[in-house]
Amino acid sequence: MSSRNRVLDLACDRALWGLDPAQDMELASALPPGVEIDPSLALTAAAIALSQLEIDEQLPAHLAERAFAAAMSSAPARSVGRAGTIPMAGHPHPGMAGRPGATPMPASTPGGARPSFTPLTPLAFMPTANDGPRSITGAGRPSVAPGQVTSSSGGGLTPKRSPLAWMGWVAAAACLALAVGTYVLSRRTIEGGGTVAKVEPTAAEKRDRMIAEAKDAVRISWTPTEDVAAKGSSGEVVWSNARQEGYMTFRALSANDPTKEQYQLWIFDAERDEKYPVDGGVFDVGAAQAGPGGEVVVPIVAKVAVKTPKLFAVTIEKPGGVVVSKRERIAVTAAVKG
Amino acid sequence: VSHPLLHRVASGDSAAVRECIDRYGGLVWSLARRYSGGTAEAEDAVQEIFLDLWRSAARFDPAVSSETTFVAMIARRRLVDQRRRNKRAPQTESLADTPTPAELGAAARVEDSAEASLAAAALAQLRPEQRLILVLATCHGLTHEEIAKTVHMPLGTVKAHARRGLLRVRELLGGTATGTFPATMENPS
Repeated sequence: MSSRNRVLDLACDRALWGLDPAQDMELASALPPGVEIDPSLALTAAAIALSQLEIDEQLPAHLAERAFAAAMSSAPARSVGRAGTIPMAGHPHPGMAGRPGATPMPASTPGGARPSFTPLTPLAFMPTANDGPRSITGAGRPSVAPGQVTSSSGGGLTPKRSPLAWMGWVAAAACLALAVGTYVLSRRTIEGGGTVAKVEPTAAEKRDRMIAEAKDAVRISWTPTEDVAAKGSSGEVVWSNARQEGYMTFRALSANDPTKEQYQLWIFDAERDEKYPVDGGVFDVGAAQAGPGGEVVVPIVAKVAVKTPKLFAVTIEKPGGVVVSKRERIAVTAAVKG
Repeated sequence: VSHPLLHRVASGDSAAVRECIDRYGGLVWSLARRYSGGTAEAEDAVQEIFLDLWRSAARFDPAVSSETTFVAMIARRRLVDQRRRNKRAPQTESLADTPTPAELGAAARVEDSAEASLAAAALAQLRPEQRLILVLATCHGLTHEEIAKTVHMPLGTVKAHARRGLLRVRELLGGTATGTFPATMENPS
């Protein structure tokens, strides 16, 4: 085997499984002086993992707090960032004041000096075209049409489930061939089509159809809170557990400015920890649909399967929504009876 | 102009740290659960991953990869290290939960990572056995020995498939405008 091929093999193994010390040394010694190990293979391995990863659990709160505390304990005691400053010990962070569950700053080191949180390389802010469509920050995210549901933030890491079971190599290969064939056919249909103009039913039409067809559909009226956005509003939520399909109807709910805040649905499932309700998606209410006489129907896009819904709640969150709501602004709720 | 979240983290912005945990906590936790031998181990791994992330945040280059992919790379690196240290098999899901080759590439699970979507498309172009081996290694944290037992193939064949598949996916990612992984990027470790 040539030296180059050996290096490539080791680099691949390193990206996939890591190397033992002997292999690490072999790889390091095989590289020309000054040449770093190419991280593109590790990034490729990460991208493959992401492409198949099902994010079906949120990070437990105590681990989130521990991770935050670790960052804070190694942060520089200096004013940085537009969102606030890292406080000195004994001076609470203004943005964290009163925040439930906020982690107190760790004590200073014995000498009074705080451990340094030193960036490994100087920062060079380089806004590029990649900041646009690829950005997963709330900024730059295209706003949604009123009534349209999008996956909420947290990077839009949408939980999905793989329902199919292992079927063995032969069956799997057959399925793959079928899937590829189906995909090719569907592509052809789409690309070569254009003669059939199928009109997508509106959310209201879908809701009505679901109510007519789904025997298990439940209808619950919204109870507005005292929040200014919801006061005086009404409507209902319709949900079919069997179909995992649902629609929200709002009347006289206030319009939101999608650049400042968005509505977000949460579904509390009796079979899940109530700290982590199912994210039902973010949505907007346009000016034309708001206020007296206004009505909007919004489809529910639950990120994971809902087994036993017990409460639907709509909160008001930052644009793009949140992974874990602080529940500071709750607009409406609908409790499932029984 | 919005700066990348990880750069704000690197500059010591506490709100960005909180946002980063909110945004990537599920991703890190999901990977840790798959790679680790139990909940306690997964919890330790999460701590290590975030510490590494805080230290490496300044190295994130939006011209090279998305933040999500960068975070996943850091997470995998720590998890692989942990596995080698502990020499314990991860709490793998049963094979009933393991994606079949037919399922792989059906849809990108992490929708906001450009590379993830591209990788799913690239995976679809691989031979089924290459695809399965890569997913078992990268997403489920199985070692080459464990994969060999799982798919009933000799160890050398597993490694050969994995290497060829990985190089092929990199090639396919590198050929796109949004998924370039320049081979010249400095090693972040």
